[in-house]
Formats: sequence, structure tokens, C-alpha cells
Amino acid sequence: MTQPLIQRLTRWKNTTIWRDSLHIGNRCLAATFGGYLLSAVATILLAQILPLSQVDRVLTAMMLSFAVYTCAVIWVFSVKSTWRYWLDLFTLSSLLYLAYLAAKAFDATSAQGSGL
Amino acid sequence: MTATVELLTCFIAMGLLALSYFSHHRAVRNRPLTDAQARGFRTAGTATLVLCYWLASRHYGPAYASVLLLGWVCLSSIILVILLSYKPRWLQPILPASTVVCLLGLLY
Amino acid sequence: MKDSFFRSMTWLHTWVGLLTCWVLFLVFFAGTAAYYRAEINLWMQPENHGSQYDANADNQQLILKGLTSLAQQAPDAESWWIYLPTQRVPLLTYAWSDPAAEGQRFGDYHQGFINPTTGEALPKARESRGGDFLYRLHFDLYYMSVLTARWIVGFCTMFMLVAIISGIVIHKRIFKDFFSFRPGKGPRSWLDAHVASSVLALPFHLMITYTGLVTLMFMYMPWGLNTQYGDETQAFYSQWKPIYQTPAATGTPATMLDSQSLLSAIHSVVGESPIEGLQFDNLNDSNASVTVKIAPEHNLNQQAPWYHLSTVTGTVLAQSAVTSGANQTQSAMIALHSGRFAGQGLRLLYLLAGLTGCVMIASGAIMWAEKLAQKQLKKDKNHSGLTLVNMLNLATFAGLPIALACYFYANRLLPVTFVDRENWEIHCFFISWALVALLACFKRDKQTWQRLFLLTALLYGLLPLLNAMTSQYQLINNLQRQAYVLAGFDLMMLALAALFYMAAKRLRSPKKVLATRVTKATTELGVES
Repeated sequence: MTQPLIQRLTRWKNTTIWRDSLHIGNRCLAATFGGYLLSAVATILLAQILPLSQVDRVLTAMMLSFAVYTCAVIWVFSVKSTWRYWLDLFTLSSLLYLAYLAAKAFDATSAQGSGL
Repeated sequence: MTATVELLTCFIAMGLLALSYFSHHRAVRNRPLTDAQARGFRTAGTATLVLCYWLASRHYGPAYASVLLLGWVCLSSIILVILLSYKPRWLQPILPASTVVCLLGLLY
Repeated sequence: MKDSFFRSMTWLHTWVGLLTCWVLFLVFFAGTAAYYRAEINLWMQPENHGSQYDANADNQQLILKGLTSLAQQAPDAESWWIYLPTQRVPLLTYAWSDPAAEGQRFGDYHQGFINPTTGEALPKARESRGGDFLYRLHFDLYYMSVLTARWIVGFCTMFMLVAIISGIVIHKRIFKDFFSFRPGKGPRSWLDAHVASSVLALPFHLMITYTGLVTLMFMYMPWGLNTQYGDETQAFYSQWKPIYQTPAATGTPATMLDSQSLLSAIHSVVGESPIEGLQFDNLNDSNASVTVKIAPEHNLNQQAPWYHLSTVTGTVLAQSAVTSGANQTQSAMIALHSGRFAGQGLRLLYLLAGLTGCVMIASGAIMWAEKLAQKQLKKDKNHSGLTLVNMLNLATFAGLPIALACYFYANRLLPVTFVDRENWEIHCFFISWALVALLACFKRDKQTWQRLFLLTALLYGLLPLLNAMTSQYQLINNLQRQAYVLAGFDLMMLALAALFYMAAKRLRSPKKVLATRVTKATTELGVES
């Protein structure tokens, strides 16, 4: 019979194919979900800070979101190091969200009311 | 009639732009392309394209004309690619003939 | 990721394209057909073929006829609709919806047609989803919930957007190679076909992908809306699309104006502007109203005017105003995607661009398979991925055109009184597709492709004959009485038949030796199961 199952699996785990698949799978997850997170946060920020009426801000931000998503995906696949893009995606998303919260607070204090 | 003239103008423009490439020029006219000639073809092609857009805007309005122009560029390019791949020599009589048809169409 | 940016983008472009190309082909195929959905609707209801469009018809009289029919057939309905005839739909359509029953979200929808030239009601047309099925297919898919389908299509569209951008990035010589195409060189030719069909219609591909996402953006990216409006999204919708804000029913009954007075009230507000349709809400209620929509004509960036009038007093309740830039942009994006503003010439260009998109997707997938087959020929190794791709390629690119033809055949061959007719036409579409897919599981060689293409050519070529046998009018007398919609359909079928015949003939006689070698490789691989 061939080598026991555990031994075969361990050998496969150390091959290039598995390592490459891990790396590529990691990038795909980052691009799909991390990219979505980034574009969602960018949408939220744009919908708050654009100098238009509320309806127009929402429409414009949502229309631009897909461009942001595409750029995020392209960027994830062009970065050299493996975990760098996760870090950058989370950092950027957090910064954008903080900016959104700041803009909302500024709006609330200066306009004494909601939005419009 | 006007739409046909505009489409032909677009075709002529793309044909002139195609002739500004060395390989296509050689295939069509059987002689090499100089830099001055290439620039000439590019200028003529771009100018004709602008003329085409101007004619279309007068007819349809600028927004509709821009969409239409993109469609015509696509159609002319496809016809040109097929022509250049299978019968490149035919472009030599076709371009002047189309110009004549366009001028006639514009006059009448 | 890879050694260079260029190589990473090439890898991304290949995989992002390959993983979703079969779904995207379905979307492009159905979407391209949907540009002519009104024409397909008409063709698939031969009982309506006698109608002709008359540009000088008296629209007031037509609306009166519609109102009379509605008052007779649906006095207790919840809403009424009247659609005036256009060149693409040469029928006066009147429709109504019943009040929603227990457990229903909307009441049943019924339609009737009137011949605009004779003024007579047309006999009940056979039930068919017609072109609307193809339109829905391209984003709602079928046999699954609408939400699931839209997520799948949205996912694939996002993949396609990334594929287009990465494709532009890797094609460094995009202008230098603009007009190049080298036929008869195996995978090199497929690459040229892929590049040519992508580059030459690039503005269309970029536009259709992006605007497709924008059309469903409230589902894919609702975060802007949620954070700005919280739970009061209704406030957003009423500001964004005021046309849908009709006052709710009060419950107190009131008599509506009689048809003549109503028409004069509408005419005094609308004048000579061409009316597209009317929607009557809250019938016989004190808040009964009519929404009058003016025909949009060929405007891309201007939304068509509309008016709300009370049907009890005849006064104007609301009307359209010039909307903001963002609103107009979003509306223009949807108009660009659906091509609803396009005249005849531009619509044909849309069809051509859509077909170019189909060629782009198909040539990409086939090129990948042929390249891999060539590599395998050298290394003498089998790749299960290649078998799967070959199978999917044959099933999709050869199967879908056959499925569409069978859909049209089912429309004419299924009896008019067949139970659940409209769903069974659609089942025939999917059954024929499944049969081709089943064949693809066993035979995938070049001969199978050629035979399937010949079959497709035969099916499409015989459709005008089927039309002649199963409807009152056929190609020649349609041309004679200038019913160009119907004649155009038959001519398009003949053109498609010619196209598939030419493709079949090319498959039989490959031009260069390299192509023959690739044929042998794929044959050998195709024969193994």
C-alpha cells in the first residue's frame, strides 16, 4: 500500500502548490472582502462630506464606490509582500471611518440639526 | 442620408488613422511610411473624426451624438480590421470613393 | 505578487475572466437579446401581428378607447395603465391590477391590446413571457431567488470590471496593435480575436459593466443611503424619484371625471407633447390620480416630463422639475445601460457591441483552452481543468444559441391552450441547453462544435418558415405592408443562420498547419471522457 494518509497530507502541505494556493487564496479574500470594506467605508465618508444636497451626496458616493472597489482589487494584486495589504486595507478603512465620524460630529455641532 | 454620410466620414477617419501605422500602410500602398506622412495621416484622421462628431451633433444633439460616434468608431474599426486582414489592397480605392460619396451627400 | 506588476495583472486578468466567463456569457447573450425585447415580445404573440403603427393616429381617441375597455373589463381594479402605440410596439396596451389578495404583495396583472388603426380589440394573445424573459434572465437568472441571482451577477460583473481594467493595463501596445488581426494561426488568432473584440468595443464594455453595477447599486452598496438616512429611506426615495409619490387612498369614495373631461384636462396641461402612457391610481377614491408620462424621445441627459393630475377635479397635483446633476447622471447611466433612449440605428449598434462582447468572452475562454492543450501536447500530461473548461465552453457557447432558437420554436409549437404555457416555453429553453451540456460531457471535439453550429444555423434559418406556417403574416407580406419590426426579426434570424453556417464551415477547413495540430490535440483530448 502507499504511504499512510497523514504522511501524504504532510508532504503535500509542504509543496509549492499548497503554499501558492494559500497565498493566492489570501489575496483573493483580501481583494473581495477587504476591498468591499474599503469601498463601503469610502462610500460612507463621501456621502457625508461631498458639498452637495443630501440626495445628491448619497447618489454620487454610491456611483463612485465601484471605482474605489476596482482600484482596491488591482492594488491588492500588485503589492509584493503577503500580509501587507491586509494591514493597509484595515488601516485605511479605519482612518476613513474615523474621518467620517469626525465629519458627522462637526456637522452636528455646526448645523444644530441633521444633515440638510 | 445624413446618417450614412456621417458613418462614412467616421470610416474614412479610422481608415486614415490605420494608414498612419507602418505595417498597415505597407500592406495597403506597398511602400514604406515616412514620419512626416505618418503625422499627416494621424492629423487628417483626427480632423475627420472631429468633423464627423460635429456633423452628428448638428443632427442629433451633442449627448446622443457622442454615444452614436462611439458606436460608429466601433463599427468602422471592425470593418477595417476585417478588410486589413483579408484584402488590404482594397482600402486604396475604397477611401477616395467614400470621400466622393460623402461630399456628394453633403452637397445634396 | 508575481515578479512584476505586468505579470500579476496578466495572472489576475486570466483568472478573473476565466472563473466567471460562462455566467458572463449568459448575461451578455441575454442582455444583447434584451435590447430588442419589445420586438421579441411582438413576434412571440402572433395574434397581435396585424397591428400597424400610424404616426398620425389620434392619440386622444386611442386613450378614450383604452378607458372604455378598462371601465368595462376592470371597474373594481386597484390601478389602471394605458400605453400608447410606438413604432416598436404598434399596439394600444391597456392593463389593470387587481387589489392584492391575502398573502399577496401585489394583485394580479392583466393586459389587453387594441389595434390602433382599426380601433378593435385584438383577440387574446397566447401567454408568453416573450422578450421580457430574456431581459429578466440577464440579471435575475432563473430557477433561483431574485436576490441570490443578483448577488451572483453582481459578483461576476465586479470580476469583469477588474478583468477589463487589468486587460487595459497589460495591453501596453493597445494603440500600436489597434487594427491587427492575424487569422489562421491557432491560439495566436484567438488572442487577436479576443483583443480585437475587447479593444474595438472597449468604451461599450467599460460602460455596460460599470452602469450595470450602478443600476443595482442600492443592493450592492447601500451604505451611503443607510448612514445618511438611517431608517427613513422612504424620505430618500420620495426626494430622488418624486414621480412615484402618489397620494395614498383616503377610503372615501368619489366619482372620477368622465373620460372626455379628463382628456381635455390632460390636454390643457400637456398640450401637443407626445404621451407615452398613463397610470391611474386609487380608482373612485377622493385621492384618485393619474400620472401622465411624456415620451422621452432621444434624450440621454434629460428625464422625460411627467404630471400628476387628480381624476376627481382635473387639477395638477405635481409635475416634473429639472433634477440635480447627480440625479441626471444616475438616470443617464441607467439610460446608457438599457439603451432605452436609442433610435433604430443606435439600437443596432448596441446589438453589434453586445455581440462583440460575446465574442470577447468566448474567444478568451477558447484561447485559454487551446493554449493549455498545446502545452499538454508537449508535456504529454492530462489536466482535469482542461476537460472541465472544454465541456463548459461547448455547453455555453454552442448551447445558448440553440436554447434561444428552441425558445422561439416552443413559442410557436406549444398549443395556445397549453397549461402554464409561459413557464413551459422557458423550460424548453433550459431543457435544450441542458441537452447540449449533456452532449458536451461525452464529446467535445471540433466535429461536435461544427455539427452543433450547423444545427444552430438550420434552426435559425427555418424560423421564418415556422413563422409563415404559424402566423397570419410572413416575411414577404410583412415587408410589403411595411411591418418592419416583424420583417426585421425574420431577417435577423436569417443573418444569424448565415453567421453560424460560416462558423461551421471555417471549423471544417482550418487554414494553417498550426491550427490543424491544435485540432488534433483537442480531438485527442476530447475523445477521452
